[in-house]
Amino acid sequence: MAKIGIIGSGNVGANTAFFVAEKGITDIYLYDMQEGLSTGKALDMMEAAPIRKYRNRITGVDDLGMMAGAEAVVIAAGAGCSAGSDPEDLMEANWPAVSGIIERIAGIVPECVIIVATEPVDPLVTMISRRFSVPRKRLLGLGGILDAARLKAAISRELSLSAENVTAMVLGRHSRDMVVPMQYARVSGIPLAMLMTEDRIRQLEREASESGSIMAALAECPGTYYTPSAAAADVIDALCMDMKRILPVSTVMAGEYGISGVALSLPCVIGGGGVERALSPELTGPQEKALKKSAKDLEQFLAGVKS
Amino acid sequence: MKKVSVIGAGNVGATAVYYLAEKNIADIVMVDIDGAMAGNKAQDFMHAAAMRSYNVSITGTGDYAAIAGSDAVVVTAGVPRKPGMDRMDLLKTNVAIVRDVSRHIARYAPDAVVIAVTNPLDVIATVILRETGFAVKKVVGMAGALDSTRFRYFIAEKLGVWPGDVMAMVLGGHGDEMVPLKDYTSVGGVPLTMMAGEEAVDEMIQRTRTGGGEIVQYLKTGSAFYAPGASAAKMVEAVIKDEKRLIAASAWLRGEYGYRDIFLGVPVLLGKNGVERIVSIKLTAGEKAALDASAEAVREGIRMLETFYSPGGDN
Repeated sequence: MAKIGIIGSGNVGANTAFFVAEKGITDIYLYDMQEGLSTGKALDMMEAAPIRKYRNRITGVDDLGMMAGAEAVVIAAGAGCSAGSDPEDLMEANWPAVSGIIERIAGIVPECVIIVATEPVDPLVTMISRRFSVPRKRLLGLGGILDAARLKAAISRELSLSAENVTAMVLGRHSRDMVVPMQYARVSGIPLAMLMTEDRIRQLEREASESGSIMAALAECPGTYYTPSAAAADVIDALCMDMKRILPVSTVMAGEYGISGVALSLPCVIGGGGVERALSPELTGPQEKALKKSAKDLEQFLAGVKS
Repeated sequence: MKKVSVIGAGNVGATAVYYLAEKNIADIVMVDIDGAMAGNKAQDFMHAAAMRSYNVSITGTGDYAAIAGSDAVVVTAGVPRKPGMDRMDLLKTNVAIVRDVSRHIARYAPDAVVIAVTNPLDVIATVILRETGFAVKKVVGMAGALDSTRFRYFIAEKLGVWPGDVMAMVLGGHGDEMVPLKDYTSVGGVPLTMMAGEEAVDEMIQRTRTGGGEIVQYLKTGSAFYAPGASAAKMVEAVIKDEKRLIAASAWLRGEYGYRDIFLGVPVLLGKNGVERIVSIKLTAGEKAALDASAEAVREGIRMLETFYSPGGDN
């Protein structure tokens, strides 16, 4: 059975293990800086195994060396998104932690795919790629996949139709500046424009961009974790089963829309090798402009980060 | 669509909701004294609906009116024991919380089966029964399911077999007084006693007794919630799908096993009406003695309860 490592056993890390176990995808090794935490949570989950019929094992470890052989490692360490915390503060808090982890695992899992769940995701993915020269294929962040999930939930709610029937895409920066190409939102293949008014579509688009920060504000401190965990599990599923699924994840741009060297979310083909291909669907003029502005803003943001 | 309400949206409550959502069997309402928190967690779940193929709705609120028409209500509300808090303080706090919860259940969900999870479990179930005035079969406590799943996992781990292949039952009160039944434990149908020596089995039993404490030691600032959440969800599923599942649970006894008028963990048939039957199985003398001790511990808890509590009162 394949093996996945998760670094950080807080709500996002532990619930990712939990979702992966529910799907029976792969064995999981959970790590946390706080000694015992990952062991306790892994044991608690395994004690549910007789009821839930898990076919894989969840193991808590206090030694990163145990990650050896993992096909992918999820980075879920660091401070969560809390109300009022801006990306600058999060970056200042989380970049030292995340870069420290990448440095430590480089020798243990040199070929693994790195999945970044820690916020702010796009700046972190960009910095990891620059500092550690991780190839694009082996590095991705949970960005647009979360926003897309929330958008799908909103569309499903609005139309009272099963969320399973809804496809939608969110690109760009995982923040208020995300690009929401509603022309690609469909319900069982039917364009949204045939199912609801233009006004409602615009409103959903606005809601989608505000949703992440609303969630953080409501939850006060811990931010959200079920959706990020479900997203991480989806990516792990696609990786371990070599599914070639198209998922919007944060990837280092390589000329798409004329943007290079910064990480933004694009619909990517996720398979056994990691990010096997990035797609660049046609965007409207304003959408493409917004994407380019996000790239520029991100560069500016990164200029202020102490590497 | 059937409906389940979970009172208390902390770790155990939210995890039970998660497991139930994954089963797609009922709409779910989460109620918490912090209604915004419950609402937010419900939203977070619904945002994952597209990825996890949920066909049910999950909502969260502070308003009990939302539980109207529930087929099952799970009570997880209460506080965990904090450092410096003695057993009596914990009991007083949680009884006050559960009394209030029970009255709301009686008012808004009079036809529901109530599954008690809050500790001290057997005493809390007594309060729920008295405050709701429900038929005794409608109130059941989650204890044996959790102790059993832990016991099964420890056996699986020790023997190197798949946890799903181990069947076991744990009776008695939840905690140190639990009574694991060795002779009724099997691995793929093979009696455990043929698979492991007495010493090894005793070791597994001992680990089961202290299973909750083991997790607390690791987590330091919290207690288990995955296995408790899964156990509560399993019981809800039995009720919602009318499975007539044979499971160990805390039920009000009226002479069964020789005990009267207490909640105690026994094998029950769990279905849409709650505890549809209490199943009598033969116990060894040692197991019966252990169950006696367990019943005495529950009675001791009830005596503590009665020093400050009377049904319908407001203390």
